[in-house]
Amino acid sequence: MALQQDLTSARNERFKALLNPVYADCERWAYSLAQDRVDAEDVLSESILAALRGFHQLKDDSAFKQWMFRVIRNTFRQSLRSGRRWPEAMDPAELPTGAERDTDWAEREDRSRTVREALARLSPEQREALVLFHVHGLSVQEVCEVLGKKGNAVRVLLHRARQRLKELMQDDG
Amino acid sequence: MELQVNQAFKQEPGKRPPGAEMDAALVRDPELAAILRLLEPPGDVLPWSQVERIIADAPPVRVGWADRLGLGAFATAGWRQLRYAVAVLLLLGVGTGVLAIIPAQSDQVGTLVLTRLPVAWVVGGAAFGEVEREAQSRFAALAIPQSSLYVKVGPRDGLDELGFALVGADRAQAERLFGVLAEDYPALAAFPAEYVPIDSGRFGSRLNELFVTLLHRSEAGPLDQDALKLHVLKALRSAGFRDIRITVRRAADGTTVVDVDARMSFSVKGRTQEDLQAAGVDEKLLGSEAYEQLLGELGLK
Repeated sequence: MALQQDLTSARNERFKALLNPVYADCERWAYSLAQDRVDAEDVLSESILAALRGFHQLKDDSAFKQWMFRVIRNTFRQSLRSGRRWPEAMDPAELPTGAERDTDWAEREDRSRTVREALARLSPEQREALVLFHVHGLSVQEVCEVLGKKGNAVRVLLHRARQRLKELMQDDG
Repeated sequence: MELQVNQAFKQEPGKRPPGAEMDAALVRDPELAAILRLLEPPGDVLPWSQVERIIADAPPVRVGWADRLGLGAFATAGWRQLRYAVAVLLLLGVGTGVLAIIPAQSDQVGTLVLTRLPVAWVVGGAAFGEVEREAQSRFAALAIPQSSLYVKVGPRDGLDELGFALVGADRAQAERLFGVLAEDYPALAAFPAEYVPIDSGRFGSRLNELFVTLLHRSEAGPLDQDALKLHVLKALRSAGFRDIRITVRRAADGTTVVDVDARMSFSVKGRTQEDLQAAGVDEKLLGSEAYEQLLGELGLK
C-alpha cells in the first residue's frame, strides 16, 4: 500500500532524526542499566522497535530523549520479568584498561572497584537516578519523566542514593 | 573519595530528609559523575549502522482507518494531501459539525469522550443546554492551556450518541471531566464512556475510530467508487466548499486514490444544475447513479 509505505518511511526518517543526536546517551543509559554489553545491545535493539511501535505516543519532540530513556528502562524491566537477572557488580574483566581511559587509571583502579561494588549495592532506582542526574545531566523534572516518579520522590531518591553511596564507600575503607 | 553529601545527616528509615538536605543532593557533582561513568560502555553497544537496519526492518505503520473504510488510500504521497483527505473524511462524517473543529494539520489534538445520549435530553432542549453549560464550566475549571470543549450529538447504531470533544486535553483530563459530569448528572453514568484519542496527523491515526464510532458506523463498510465520490462531495457540500473537483483512480499497486480540489464557502443552496456543472460536478465526474442521487438530494431533479 503506497500510503502505508509513505507513512512508514516518514516515521522512520523522523525517528532517526530525533534518535541520532541522543543515540550515544541511549547507549550509555542502556549499558548502565544492563551492565553487560550483550544484554545492553539486546535491550537497545528491543527498545528501538518498541519506540517505533509507540512513536505516535510521543507528544513533544523536545522531550524525545527522556521518552526514549523511559522506553529503554521499561524494555529492560520487561526483560527482567522475562527471566533476565538483575545485574550484579561489574565483572572486573570488563573494566576498561588504562589505555582506554586516562593515564591515572591504574592509580584509581582499586578505588574504582570499590565504587563499583558500592554502586551495585544501591537499589536499582537509586542507581538510575544518580546516573540520569549526574551523568546525563537531566533535570529533576526530566528524571521524574524517565522514572515515572514525582519531584519530591526523585529528590529523596537522589539524596539517599548519595548518602548510601558515601556510607558504603566509607565502610569499605 | 570526597562526595559532597551532608555527613551529619543520618537517615532514618522511611523518614524524608529535610529540604536543605535534599537540596544538597541536587548539586551536580563532577566527581560523582566521573565515578558513575565507570558504568558506561568502553565502546559502541550497538553501532548506528545496525540501528538504521533495525529501523528499516521495523514493522510498517498501521493505517487502520483506510483499511476499515475499505478505501485503500487517500493520498499517494505527501502530508498535505493526506491531511486534506483526512479533513475531507472528518467533514464527511460530521455534516455540520463536531469533527470540523479538529485541525487536520495537528498531531495530538485531544480526546473524545463518547457515550449514549440519555433519552430525556433533547438536543436544543433545556436539560441538554444545562448539561452543555455545566460541561463548559467544569472544563474551564480544569484550566487546560489552549484547550476547548465541544459538545455534539451524532447517530450511532440508530441511537443518539453524545460526544465531548476535548481539544488539547489528554485522557486523564477527559476522564476527570466526565467523572465530574457523571456525578452531577447520574443519567450520564448509566452508560459506559468510551475515550478515543484524537491524533489526526500521526502515524497509525485513530481517526477512523473517531469517524466511524461517532458518526458513521452504519456506513463504514467498503465503498465503491461512485459512492465514495458522492460521500466526499456531500461532505464538501456540507462544509461549504466550492469549486469541487473529485478524481477517483486506482493506482498501480491496486489502492484507490481520491484527489480532491475544492474551495471553502461553496454552498449548493440555490445553485442550479448548471452551477454544479460549472464547478466540475457532473455525471462524468460522479457517475450517472451518484450524480442522479446528488441532484435528488439537492432538489434539482
